[in-house]
Amino acid sequence: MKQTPYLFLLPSILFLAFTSLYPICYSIYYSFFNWRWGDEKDFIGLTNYLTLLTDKEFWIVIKNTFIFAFFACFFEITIGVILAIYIDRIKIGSTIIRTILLIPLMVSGISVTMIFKVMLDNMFGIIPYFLSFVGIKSNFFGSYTAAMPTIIGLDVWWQTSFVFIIILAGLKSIPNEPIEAARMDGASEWEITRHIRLPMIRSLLFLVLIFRSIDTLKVFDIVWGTTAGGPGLATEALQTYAYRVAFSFLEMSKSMTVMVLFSIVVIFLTLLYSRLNKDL
Amino acid sequence: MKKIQKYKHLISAYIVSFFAIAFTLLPITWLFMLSIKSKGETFTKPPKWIFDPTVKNYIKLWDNDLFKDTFFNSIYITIISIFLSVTIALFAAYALKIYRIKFKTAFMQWLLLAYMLPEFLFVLPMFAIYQTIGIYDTYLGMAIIYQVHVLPFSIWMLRSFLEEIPKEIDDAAIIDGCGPLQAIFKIYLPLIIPGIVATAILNGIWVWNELAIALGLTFFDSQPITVGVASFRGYASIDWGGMTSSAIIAILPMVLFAAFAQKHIVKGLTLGSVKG
Amino acid sequence: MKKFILSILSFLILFSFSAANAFDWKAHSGKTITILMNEHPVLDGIRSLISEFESDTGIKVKVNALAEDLYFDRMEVNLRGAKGADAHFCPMDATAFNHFGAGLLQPLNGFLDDPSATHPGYDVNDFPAGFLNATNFPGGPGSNYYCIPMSFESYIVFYNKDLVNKYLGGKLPETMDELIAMANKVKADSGGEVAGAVMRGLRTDTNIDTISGLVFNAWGDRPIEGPYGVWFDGDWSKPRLDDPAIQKGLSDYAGLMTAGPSDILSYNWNEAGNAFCAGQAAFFADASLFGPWFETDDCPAAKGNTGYMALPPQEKGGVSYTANWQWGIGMGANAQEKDAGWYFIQYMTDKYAEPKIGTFHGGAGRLSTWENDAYTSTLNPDYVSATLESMKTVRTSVVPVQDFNKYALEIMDVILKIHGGASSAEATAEGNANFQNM
Repeated sequence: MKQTPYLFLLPSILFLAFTSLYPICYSIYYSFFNWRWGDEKDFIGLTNYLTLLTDKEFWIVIKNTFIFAFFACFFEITIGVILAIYIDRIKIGSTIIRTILLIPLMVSGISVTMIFKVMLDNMFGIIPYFLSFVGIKSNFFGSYTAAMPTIIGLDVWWQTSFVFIIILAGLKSIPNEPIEAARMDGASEWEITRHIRLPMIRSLLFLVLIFRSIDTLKVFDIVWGTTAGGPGLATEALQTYAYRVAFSFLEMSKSMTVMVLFSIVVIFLTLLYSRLNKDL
Repeated sequence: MKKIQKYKHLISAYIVSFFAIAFTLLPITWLFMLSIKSKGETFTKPPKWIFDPTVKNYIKLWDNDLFKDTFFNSIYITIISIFLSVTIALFAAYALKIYRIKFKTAFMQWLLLAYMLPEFLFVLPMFAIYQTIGIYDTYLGMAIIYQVHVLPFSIWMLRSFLEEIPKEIDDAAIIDGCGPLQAIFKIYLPLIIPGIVATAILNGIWVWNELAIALGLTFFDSQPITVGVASFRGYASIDWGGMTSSAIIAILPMVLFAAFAQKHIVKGLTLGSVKG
Repeated sequence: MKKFILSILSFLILFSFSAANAFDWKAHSGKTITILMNEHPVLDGIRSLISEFESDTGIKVKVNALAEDLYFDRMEVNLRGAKGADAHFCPMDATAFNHFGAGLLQPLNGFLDDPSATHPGYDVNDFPAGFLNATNFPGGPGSNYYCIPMSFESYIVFYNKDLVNKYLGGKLPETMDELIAMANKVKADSGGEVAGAVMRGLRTDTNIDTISGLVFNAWGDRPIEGPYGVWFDGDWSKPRLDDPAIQKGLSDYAGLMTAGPSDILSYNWNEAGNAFCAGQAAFFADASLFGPWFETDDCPAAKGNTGYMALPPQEKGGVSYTANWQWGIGMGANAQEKDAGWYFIQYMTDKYAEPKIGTFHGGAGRLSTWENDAYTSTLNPDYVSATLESMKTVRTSVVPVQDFNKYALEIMDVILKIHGGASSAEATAEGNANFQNM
């Protein structure tokens, strides 16, 4: 039947329309109102957007989110690639190593926060205890300056495996001939890595960049579970901010405006990446 | 000369692995140690290394009605999500492989966008309509909204597995006069079982670990384990026993998956990313 | 003879009436109710009585308990959904006022006035009028009660006797300034080993009650006009954060924070209470209801080692003032099992249960409970006297205006600025400006 393909795609389209198009339309629609939960719902046009884009607080949140994303990606990709390069050399025990390193990825964000809340607790945490031996009085989640690096550290512990697994698989699928040839020519291991291995997994590197960058922008669990955006606004990210505006201040429209703006950024980045990926 | 070089590289690789493994396992081990300490021994300064282990925290957890419910809620939500995503994706992947679809590129692009959208975007819009339809705080409701993330992923995965099937089989299917439904279930499905398993596992992990959407769209009846763990902060005493033991229980199934299904997971991650 | 028949008749009539309206604890046997609660000493008290409740009434109880910041979010969602919990922890302040305004709460007078719904001897007027009126909306005749008080707290100072002896020679502060100086001295002399004081330093709107305690202490006996509270000068458009007394109160709070641990900015009441419980601080100014917990085995460093005093006055020999706040129990308008839910509410707040639950939190609402030895004997006598003393000059921290939590957050921001080094004049001027913009 001619209709078969479209029939087979219909369930997908229906589900995706309901779960992606409907929320976007709903959010855009109500972003033009001043809806407070249990209260008025008046049309106010672009006021929410103007208020938000001129709100100092909002820009701090944006800054935090992008700083987090940048550094988290940077460390995760760097460490993940380095790990992959080293472990690519191992044949014996490589499966076990890979399995163990996979574990943090399997843990939920909220569990990650529990782990580090107890480890870094100022009074009873094991890490501050060890640091006190070298004379460092540490303050992880409670300091304006250390909170963000701490959260970045959590994400690095949690998600570096993602980069590692993918890059490792990529390295393993590189044909051996060019490497052997280079070795014959007397190239050093690092030269081989730089000039042969890395270029051959260029598209995979770009891929992990895409996934990690957008994922880190969307951070929620590890911020919400530890500092709830604090101290002050030091770690407030876009999604935790939207959550707070909706559930603490009951400002539905404002929260949806934040998410609409954020989604525009995400959509833009995704389309940009798609275009670049095609050219790679 | 070259042999010694090679060993030097191998040794450094093992050293790096050792540190990586230590960094990975130590936090989880510490979490586990805290979960088997009794209250008085948790809050000591300096931390106690030698102590009497107790399973009291775990027993208390299981007696706690709410936590037991959240564990099973997560199981139901995960199973329904997996079933929905794999079934729907199977048909879509088949259609994408076999037929010439006019809007294929746009459709694939849409899949990617839906997958990338931030989770909190869905919470407020779905809250209203779910209450109206009556699927707020239900397993089905959660499984449905989760499709926005797991369905695209499943479609990529199953499609890439289907693509690996040689064209001869496609031709054989046509010659045999198989209708599409027969073809899917009799011919293709059996061939991509590993792919389905990988997809199911990865989807299951994502659903099991999800928090933001669950916070918004569940309440009494279908609260999953992530919200259960989040609720575990007692007043003043900060119930570390409850926190750590609930976190361990939330982690355990996933770690077991990692141990037994790591091959599938790895294949899934790499394929899923490449095809996305 | 006539009299005899008359009396028999009236007896029969009365009997039949009371039989018809007789209260029966088992009237809703077999039902199941869900309650939404905050992890709190009151909840521990409630939990200890749940099996008794279930066997006395035949009603099964499902408890959904959450940590406080998550509780506040979930409470909002719960009240606005199509179906809600049958009883919930009710913060008896502007939050409840907002819920009332949005029609989210179930008025309770219907139950209270119905003899078949409320057991005789419940005696709701055993609660001080001031406590009940915190959620008597809209106020004035014909209003309804919306929540029943479960625990009140006033803001006092706890001190660690060992640390005070060690670093201060056993001397206690007689004024607020002395308290701040002494707390900072303890911190300095101990080389940072222990904190001089712990306070809630987290940037949240929920610190407002403790803050109010310190501000009222600086405000002294000047009148405070409701509903504007101390923060507004008779009009919502006239914030007066820069009033010298308020500046002093907010600076006092910041001064105590300075004597706190290095990560005080992440301390909510759990962390602060935990620190004092573990003997890591000399002073702790916060809600009285921490008292009973400090005397349990959970706090080996505080048990038997804790002293209690009212907030030190501004001047030597002066009068100390503080604030009070209440948790109550209420019912959403969207509750599914309202009658059974009411049974739960009255059971947990009546003269039998309150003293028992009260031993967990030390803030019982009923006057009869404070005269009940079963209750007072379980509490540290110094705690009882400090709390009762503070109750003499206590004023509500509640400001019934929509969105007060935004103002409360701004007030905390002012304190954080002072703690960060700004002058109180600057910080409060900025606060006033931000108030105007809201």
